Amino acid sequence: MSRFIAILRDSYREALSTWVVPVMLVLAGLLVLFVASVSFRQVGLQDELEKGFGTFNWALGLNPANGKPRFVVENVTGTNPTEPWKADYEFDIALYGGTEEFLKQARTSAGFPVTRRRMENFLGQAVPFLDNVKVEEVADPPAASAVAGGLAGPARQAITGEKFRFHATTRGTKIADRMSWPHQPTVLFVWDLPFNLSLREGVYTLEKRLVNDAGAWITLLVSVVITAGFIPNMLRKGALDLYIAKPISRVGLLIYKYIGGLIFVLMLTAVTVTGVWAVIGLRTGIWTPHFLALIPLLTFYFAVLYSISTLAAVLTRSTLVAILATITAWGLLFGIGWGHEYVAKAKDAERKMMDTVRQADPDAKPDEDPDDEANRNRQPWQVPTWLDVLARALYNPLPRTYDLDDRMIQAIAHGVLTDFELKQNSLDRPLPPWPETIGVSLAFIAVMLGLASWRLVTRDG
Amino acid sequence: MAVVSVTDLRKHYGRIEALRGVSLQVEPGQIFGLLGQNGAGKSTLIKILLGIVRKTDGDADLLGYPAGTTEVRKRVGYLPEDHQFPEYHTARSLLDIYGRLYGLSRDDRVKRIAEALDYVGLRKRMDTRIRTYSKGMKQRLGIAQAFFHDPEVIFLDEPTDGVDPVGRKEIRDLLLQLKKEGRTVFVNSHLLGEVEMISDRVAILHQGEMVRYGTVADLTRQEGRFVLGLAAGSAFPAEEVARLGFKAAPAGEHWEVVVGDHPEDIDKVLALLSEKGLKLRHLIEKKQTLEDVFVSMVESAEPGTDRRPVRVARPVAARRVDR
Repeated sequence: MSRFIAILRDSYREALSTWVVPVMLVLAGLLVLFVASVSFRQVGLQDELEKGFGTFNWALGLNPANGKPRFVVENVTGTNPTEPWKADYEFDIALYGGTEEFLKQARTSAGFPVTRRRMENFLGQAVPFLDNVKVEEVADPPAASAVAGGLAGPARQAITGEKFRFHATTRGTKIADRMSWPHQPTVLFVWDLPFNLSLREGVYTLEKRLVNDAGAWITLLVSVVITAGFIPNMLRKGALDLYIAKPISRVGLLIYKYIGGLIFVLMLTAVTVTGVWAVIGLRTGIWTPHFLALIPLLTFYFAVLYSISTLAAVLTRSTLVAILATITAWGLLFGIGWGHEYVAKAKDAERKMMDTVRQADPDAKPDEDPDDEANRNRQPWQVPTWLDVLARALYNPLPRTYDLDDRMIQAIAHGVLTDFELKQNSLDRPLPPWPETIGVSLAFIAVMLGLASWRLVTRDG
Repeated sequence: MAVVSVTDLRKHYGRIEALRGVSLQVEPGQIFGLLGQNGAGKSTLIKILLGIVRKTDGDADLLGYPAGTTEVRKRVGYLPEDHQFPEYHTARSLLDIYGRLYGLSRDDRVKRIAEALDYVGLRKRMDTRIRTYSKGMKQRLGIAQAFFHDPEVIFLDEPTDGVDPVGRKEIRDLLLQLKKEGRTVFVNSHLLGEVEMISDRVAILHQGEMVRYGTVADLTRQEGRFVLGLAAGSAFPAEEVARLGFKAAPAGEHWEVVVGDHPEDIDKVLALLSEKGLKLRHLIEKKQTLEDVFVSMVESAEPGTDRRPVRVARPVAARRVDR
C-alpha cells in the first residue's frame, strides 16, 4: 500500500507541475459558475401564450404590406395562481391591425388561426399542456366595448383596429408538477433566452449539452493529455533505473501509475460533476442522483482510453505518440460504435419491413431468410450481410465507449425527464446489458495492460 | 557470504557482447572499484545485479539472492549514471517517495531524509524544486538517495561525475564513512585516482572481459623501478648493473633501473656507483599507479568500442627518494 501511495503521490506532483491542471481546474470552476448563472423563472400562462404568438407576430411583421397585423393575448384569468398547472383558464386572443387584403388571404390559408377550429389547433401546438381547450369567436366582448366607449360591432372595431377576437376556456392541464411547467431560462444571471421551456427540459439541456456533450469531452481530452506523459516520463533513460532499482516490480510500477492516472481523473470528474449537480440542485430544486452516475461512467470511459495510452507509451516512450494513439483509438471506437448502431437500426427497420411485407402478401414464404444472398438482391432496402458482419466483428471485441456515452445520456435523461419525454426523445430504447458493456471493456483494458506489462518486463532497462 | 557473487556472467545486446564471462566476488564491508573504459560493461554488470537488465548467461547473486530479486532491493542503494530525477520534486519530496517505496516508516523518513541531505550539503535546499539544482547538486542528491534508507550495499555508477574537487573529496569521505559503518560500496568509475584512493579491491573490465582483479596493492604492486642520474660527464655502468641481475636502460639523460620485487635492492646499485666513484645527482623511485596499470591494460588489449585514435601519453607518478 505504501508503494502504491508513493507512486500516487508522484503522479499527483507530476500532474500539478504542469500548467494543464490549474487550467483544468479553472475550466471546471468556470463550468460550475456558468451553470450557477443559469436560472429558471416560473412563468404565467400569459407569458407562455405571448411567446407562442410572438414568433407568429414577428413573421407577420416582416411584410409591411400586411398592415402590421398582430395577435394579442388579453384577459387571462386562472383559478390557481400558486400552482398554475392545477388551474382552469380563460383568456382572449384578438387580432389587431392588418389590411382587408391580408385578412382575405389569411382566411384562405389553412395554417392561419383566424377561425375557431384553426385557433384551437394553434393553441394545441403553442400550449400543448392545456387540457380541454375550447375556443369561441366573440362578436362583442364587454371589455373591448368598454375600451371603445360602449360601442359595439363595426364601430368598436374601427376605433381599436381589432379585426376579430376569440375567447378560450380550458379545464385542467396535462402537467403533473412544477417541473413540467414552462419556465423562463436566464443565463449569465441577467440574459433571458427568447423561449420558455419546462424545468425538466431546462435541466436536461444543461446537463446534457453543457456537462455531457461539452464538459465531459473537454475533461476527457485534457485528462488524456495530462496523463499521457506519466508513463513516458517514468520510462525516460536515466529515470526508469531509479524506479526499478527500488523494491517494486515493473508490473506493479506500471499498474500503480495507471491507477494513479485513473484516480486523478476520478477526482477531477468528481469535483466537476458534483459541483454542477449541487449548483443545479440549489438553483432548481432538482436533486437527481442519476446525474452523479457520470462520475464512475466517465472514469471508466477514461480507463479504456488510458489503457491504450499506457500501451502506446510503453511501446514508444513518447508522450506525443501516446496522445495521438489514444485520440485516434477514441475516434475509431466512436465510429465503430456509431456504425454498429446504424447497422443495427437498419436491420431492425428491415425486419419490420419484412413483417409488413409478409402481412401484406400472404403468399410470402414465412421462413424466408432476410440474410439470404438471393433474397437480399431482391430487396434493395435490406442491409448487406457483409456490412452487418463487419459491424459486429468490429464492435463485439472492442470496448464499448459508444455504449458508455449512451449510458451517460440516459442517466441524465432518466433523472429528469418524464417517461413521455424519454419516449419522445428516443431515450427509452434498450441498451446492451451492463455486464456486456463493462465486461468487454474490462477485458480490453486487461489486454492492453497485459501487453504493456509484458513489454516492460521483457525489455532491458 | 559474499555480497556480490558473479560467475561467468554474459550479456548480449543483439550481436554486441557487453559482458563475456565475467566472474568476481565482493566481500562485505569493502569498497569495490570497477574500472573500465566507456562501454566496457561496467554499468551493465550493475544493472544485471539490480535486475534492471537481464543476463544472457551465467550466475549473478546479490546478498545471497539471484540478481533481480525485488525484495533484495530494499537492502540496496543505487546511483545510476546519467540519472534523471523527476524535476517537479524537491529533494525532500523525492526522498519521501523513495522512502515509501523502501517501506520506511514516516518517522524514519523524516529523520533519515534530513540527515542524508544534511550529509551531502543539500539540507538548506531540500524544499526547492530539483529543476533549480546544478549538476553537482543533483549528483549529491543521487548519492543521498542511494544511502538514506540504510542499505547494506550501495552501487554508485560514476558518483563523482559533474562534481567539483571539493565535492569529490566530500564524496570520498562519505564512501569511507559508509565503509566504516560496515556497508559494502561498489563503485563504477573511470576516474582511476578516485577509486585508487578508497577501494579495497578493484576489477578492470575491458570490452566485456575482466582483465585484472585484485586488491589495489596487488594491482599497483611496485616493480622496483628507479631513475638514476649521475654527475655530468660520468658514464653509467650499465654492464656492471646488469651483472648484478638488474635491468638498466637509458631514459633521456638518466638511466632507468628495475630491481624487481625488493626495492631495497637499489642499495646494491648505489653501492656499485659509490665503489666506482660515480657521483649521484638524481634518484627517483617510479611509482606505478592504478592509472598506469589501467592504461597499460587497455593498450595491450585489442582496440575496443572506445578505441582511441591517438595514443594517449602515459602519465607517470613519481616519488622522490630522499637520500
